[in-house]
Amino acid sequence: MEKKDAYSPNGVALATGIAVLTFVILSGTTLWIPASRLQNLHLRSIALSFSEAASAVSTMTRLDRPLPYLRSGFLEATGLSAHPSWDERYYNKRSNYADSNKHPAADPAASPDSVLRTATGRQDLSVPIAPEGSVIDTASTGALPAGFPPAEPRFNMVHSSENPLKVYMFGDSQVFSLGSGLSRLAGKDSPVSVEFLAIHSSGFVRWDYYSWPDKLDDYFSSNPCDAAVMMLGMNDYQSFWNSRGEIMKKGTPEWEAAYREKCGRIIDRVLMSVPRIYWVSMPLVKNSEYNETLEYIDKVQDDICESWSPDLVVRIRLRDAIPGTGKPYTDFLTSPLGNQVRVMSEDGSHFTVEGGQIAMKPLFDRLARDYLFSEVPVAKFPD
Amino acid sequence: MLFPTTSFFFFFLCVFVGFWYVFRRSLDRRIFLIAASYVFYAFWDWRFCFLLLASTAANYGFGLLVGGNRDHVWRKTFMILSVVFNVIVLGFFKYYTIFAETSNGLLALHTSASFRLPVIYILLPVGISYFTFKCMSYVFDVYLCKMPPVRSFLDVMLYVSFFPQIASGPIVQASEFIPQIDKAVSSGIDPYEKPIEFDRATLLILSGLIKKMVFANFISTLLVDPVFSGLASAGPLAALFAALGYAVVIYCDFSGYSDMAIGIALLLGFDTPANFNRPYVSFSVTEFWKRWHITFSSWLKNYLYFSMGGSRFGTIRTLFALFFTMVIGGLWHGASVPFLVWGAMQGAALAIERAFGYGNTRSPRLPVAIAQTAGSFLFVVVSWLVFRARSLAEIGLFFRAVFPFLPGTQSAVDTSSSTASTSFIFSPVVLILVFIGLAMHAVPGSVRGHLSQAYRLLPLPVKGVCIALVLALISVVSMSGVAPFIYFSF
Repeated sequence: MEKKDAYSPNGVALATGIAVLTFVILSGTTLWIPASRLQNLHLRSIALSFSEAASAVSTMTRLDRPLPYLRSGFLEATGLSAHPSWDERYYNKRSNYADSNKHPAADPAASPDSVLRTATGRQDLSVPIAPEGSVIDTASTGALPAGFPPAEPRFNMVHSSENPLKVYMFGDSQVFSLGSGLSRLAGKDSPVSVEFLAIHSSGFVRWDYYSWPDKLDDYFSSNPCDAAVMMLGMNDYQSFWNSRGEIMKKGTPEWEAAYREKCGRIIDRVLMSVPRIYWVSMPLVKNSEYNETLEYIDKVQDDICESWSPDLVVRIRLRDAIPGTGKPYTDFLTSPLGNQVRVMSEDGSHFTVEGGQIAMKPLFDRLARDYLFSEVPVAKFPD
Repeated sequence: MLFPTTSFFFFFLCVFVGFWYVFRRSLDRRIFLIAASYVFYAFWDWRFCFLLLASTAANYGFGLLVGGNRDHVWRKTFMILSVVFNVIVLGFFKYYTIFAETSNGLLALHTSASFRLPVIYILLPVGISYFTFKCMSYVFDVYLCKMPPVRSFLDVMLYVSFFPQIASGPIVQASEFIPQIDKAVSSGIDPYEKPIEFDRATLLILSGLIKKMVFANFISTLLVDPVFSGLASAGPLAALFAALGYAVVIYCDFSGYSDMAIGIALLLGFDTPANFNRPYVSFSVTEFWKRWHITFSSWLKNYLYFSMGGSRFGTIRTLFALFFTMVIGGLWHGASVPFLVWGAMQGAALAIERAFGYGNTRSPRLPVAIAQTAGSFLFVVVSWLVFRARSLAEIGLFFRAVFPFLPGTQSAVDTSSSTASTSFIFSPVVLILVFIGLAMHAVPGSVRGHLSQAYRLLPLPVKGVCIALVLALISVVSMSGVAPFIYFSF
């Protein structure tokens, strides 16, 4: 027997068509957001073209006005506009789509590119690795910029639980566990204070999805820090469009050059506010295909890192901590307290919080060496 | 490819058009649906398509062997062989690594032998627990004479790989799905025929989207994750509220996915049994398992509990069967001590209720009925804490947060210094969502029936506009990124 609410495929197609049309008209200019999430560049291009045409119609009729008002009203009323997962200031920035060169921090004329980076690369640096508590003379690594003075060196400051070393960690979803791990290592009332921000699926490549340059601009302008820890790259093995509309095909020299530029902009931006960046490398993951791409990203990032003084940008190798140098992938490790702990989550890509603690131990030790403390920071592990 | 994404929308659009408009013969439609399902599965990792195919082929063969034999001994032998095969497949991908790690640890600790099991780290194929249980369901149903062995390999392939159900269930039993295939693939040829339950499908998909993208994502991001990631610094009230919030999150996340899966299958003409039925109004754990993940609990009951004798061999054996069934149910989620403890808790609760003859009828007196429901809910919330924990130590951390006077609390080393995330724990939006997330269980089925009846009365074009408005409202409030589903881990 035919059911009462049953329809023919034509009926369903009609209702779906009306629903899609109404949604498209209401969404207007924001329609590019779901289109921009498509992985395949060609499909994305088609969807974006379609969204352009559709949004032109809805903009003309002004039917796309209510939704943005409703959204901003909702976010203001609930206070979610200040929450990292809803913060409209940094997510879905169309101006950054295929056009990241237009970002103010990336203005070639004002680019600190030529300023903080050494002209000849890392090997030829005259500045040695900073001894404990020494003041790094960043000026000696290159000419000081006119408009972008590097961050005030604060290596000679003595830190204590009253005046803790302020560390800001930012990056992709991996920072949930790494940030928590570093926080737990530091513990309560510690001479090291950790704040972290993890944004799912973010990276150096897709500033249209999450604009790290904007976020870092805003954050560092009001939050002075002693060190920044950066973990980005796990979502970066993807092709993208450059500012001239050309496809930067992943794995090609052109892609690497464009990627280098994107990384450089973030690093230089951070170095304007923070005297030193600890750049966390890619982890060893279970999926061998994914692992190969991460190794590639790691290699590219290593090369990029060479452009800065090792006193300014310090590379922290996760694989040396988990699973250990030269060792194969593992889900479990023995903690410094002798317990067998699960270090990788079920997906085989993200650390557990306990894994984050172990992975961040070398960084914690490095912080303890690189800065002056009146009381030696002690890494804390769970009972 | 997750359901609430643009990629899936385009994928499903192609499947819908292909199924109803391009391919008109049943054989073509079967092949098309199988191809679509394999493409869907390949989006995660194409290599596991071969595992899916091999598992299907083997169980198809076992089905023929079981169904084609009249000798009970042979039937049973082939059925047992199929179980061994499926347990090996599931065990290898899901449990072998931890088994090898644990065995090697024990060997190192207690013997001087140099022998060690090789430790192999392999990516867990998405949905392996679900499709393996579906494969087993097929052989069991043939063995139990619920259905004859299926001659068409395509039908078994379609049953096992059907894309709305492959990643995260529901675990539809073979005797419920396979008989539908003929009707579904041969319908809609006549232009006047109406084979699609569109209203039910859209209501399910929309309710699934709201559950996932509003309730689960909001409560998880604003309450549960911040509190559980900094348990040692969380106050007792925050910890308790987060536990309550997690009960809402896991329900909305999982039942939201199930609703969407059922709705999507309906759009292709396939009916799927309900997977959830207001589980938190249960007055006993026994009733809870009739309302929570119903297809999974039915599978356990029909194939595991009954095969251990069910209630046919006296009280002791019944209690043992109940307990053991739920322990297996716990381990199905993964090889970890918390899952084992969680399964044992469920099994013990079911066994105790059975032993005291409790759990089959709600008290007619309202205060007692409320106390029954509250007690069952409390047990469920505590068991979710165990379920969520990565280790027993994490469970200890929670109880130390709730009972700060317990020894060892002062030595907590955890801090919660993640940005603004902790400031929303008791915000009005979270309080409202947790309240509604729980209160939605109290809405009787009749009220839901009236609401859906009212929707059905609308003209078709108006329904289309309503769907768009709901989607627009979801987009107004939704987070900026896509959050993963909890039950994808299994």
